[in-house]
Amino acid sequence: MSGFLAVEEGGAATTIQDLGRFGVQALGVPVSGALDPTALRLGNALVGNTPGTSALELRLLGPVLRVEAPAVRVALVGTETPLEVLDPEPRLVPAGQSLTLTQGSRFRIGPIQDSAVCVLAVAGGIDVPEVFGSRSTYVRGGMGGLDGRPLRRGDLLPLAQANPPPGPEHCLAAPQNLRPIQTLRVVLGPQADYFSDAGLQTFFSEPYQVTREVDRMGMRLDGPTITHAKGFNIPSDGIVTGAIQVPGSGQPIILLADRQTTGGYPKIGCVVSADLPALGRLNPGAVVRFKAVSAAEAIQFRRDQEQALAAQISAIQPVQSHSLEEALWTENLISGGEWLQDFQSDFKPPGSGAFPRP
Amino acid sequence: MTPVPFDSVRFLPCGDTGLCVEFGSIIDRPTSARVVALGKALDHAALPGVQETVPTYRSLMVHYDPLQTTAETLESQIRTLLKRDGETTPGREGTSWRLPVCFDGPDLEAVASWGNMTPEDLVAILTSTPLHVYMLGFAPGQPYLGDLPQALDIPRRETPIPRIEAGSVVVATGKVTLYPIANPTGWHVVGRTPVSLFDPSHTPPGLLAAGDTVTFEAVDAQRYDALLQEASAS
Repeated sequence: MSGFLAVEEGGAATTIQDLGRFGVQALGVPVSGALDPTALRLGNALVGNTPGTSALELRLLGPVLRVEAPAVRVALVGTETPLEVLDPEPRLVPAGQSLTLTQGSRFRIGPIQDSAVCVLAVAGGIDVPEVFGSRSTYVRGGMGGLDGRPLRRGDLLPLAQANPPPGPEHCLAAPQNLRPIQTLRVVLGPQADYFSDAGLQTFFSEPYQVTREVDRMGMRLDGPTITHAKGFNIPSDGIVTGAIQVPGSGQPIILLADRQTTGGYPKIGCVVSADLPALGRLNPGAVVRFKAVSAAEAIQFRRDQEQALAAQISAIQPVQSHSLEEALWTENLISGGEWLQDFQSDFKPPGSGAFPRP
Repeated sequence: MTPVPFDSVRFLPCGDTGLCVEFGSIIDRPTSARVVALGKALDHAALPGVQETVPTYRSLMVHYDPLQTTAETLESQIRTLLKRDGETTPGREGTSWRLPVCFDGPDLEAVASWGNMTPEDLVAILTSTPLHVYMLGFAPGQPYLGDLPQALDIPRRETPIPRIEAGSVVVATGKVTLYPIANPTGWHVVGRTPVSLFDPSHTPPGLLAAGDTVTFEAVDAQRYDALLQEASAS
């Protein structure tokens, strides 16, 4: 039996993402994948999926969706914004738990203010074709996801599972720590030698603010100028997600999931992989500092993080019906209508990205 | 960081997910051959934890899973490979391509006058120089080709332009690249090719690979249109 999630409103930049597209960077194809892979893995665990199952990544303003299947189980993770059921029985459901919605149900996720991105996981995943082994959307290249673009009104998202297996809903045992990260841990290099001692000193001691020029490709920061020692041109070389390139302006750009595969600006350092999910959640205006760590330390941080995530997943528990938390949400939160409109009129879209140089 | 002799291989950590194996500081074909050869050797060796490799002008990026291996382990494994295989073991011979280009780009005259030549001279050079594919990068299927004669060592634009069309043929710093998708550029547009460089549904999806050779063939606008129609029909 086939089923769909019908898109009534696409949201600001809703895309299908999984854990990314590996193995084709040598052809110039970016990795893509969820900006907050921790949220993706937790969301998938809540709905009974394997960790890398395709889900929706939401930015700024979520979509309005209608269930065109006997039933669908979903879970919103990576934000404290509630999921708002519109029909047939209006209510707010807190993030961090699964819920099953039946044919004709309508729901939405309003403005997301506590994170740049969050994830709506769907039991079974979204059944779009794989491109190079991944369903992630790479919008600049028009690749993956739904026709390589963000969702829009009228889209039908094919569900891999049109009727989720019966059973209780599940929730996280404790809320996620979504406090914006303040210190990004960085392994020096590969081109630290392109910067003056003063430049390195500035980078590791001064605060930098996330500008409005943020997209899935990169994040421009603003702060004291980082001075180069031998110019800002290198023969283009490979790039990892989290690499911090510093062009002639002396202002750092951190490269994210849709980053180019190669580039010609020197990279002062690379954010450790354990900090990438928190980095992906940073909103414009956030202020960060950088701290130097060794590659060996970075690997230990990542192991610790994996352990913590495994513990969070194994602590997932059945939902007590009408939990206190849900009751509080339902009592205290009004319908998001006016809130949504205010947000939309205030919101200026970020610039067209991090203008990397080929 | 320990200083290393200029011509020895450098292993540069890139966070905890990448190791950049750098063979030198300049762009030339022997260096490129070493990069490509190591990439092939590594792909063949299928070392635990290695996700993929990306050859560039003078270095190979090795992407790895930090839960399965470390930069230290990889460095010693790669040193062994380099010793065993020899660094300059040539890979397979690259394929030679002839690519049609309509040389009517908005910057053709500016590039020619920078090189103290006429646009006709420039086109003659661009169509008679076999170009080596150093690497693919930036966008899907985008090749970096070289080398043009020193007279055409024109620097990048001071300010990049926000968008050029797919198929654009651009030059800067003695190199040529072709844009498979519309993107910003800091390079100079000299022409356009009707050939599609990347199609995810094809096997292999990219037309060109590092190590290939490309020679441009000048076509007029009419022929360009005809080839473009043919390409979109097939």
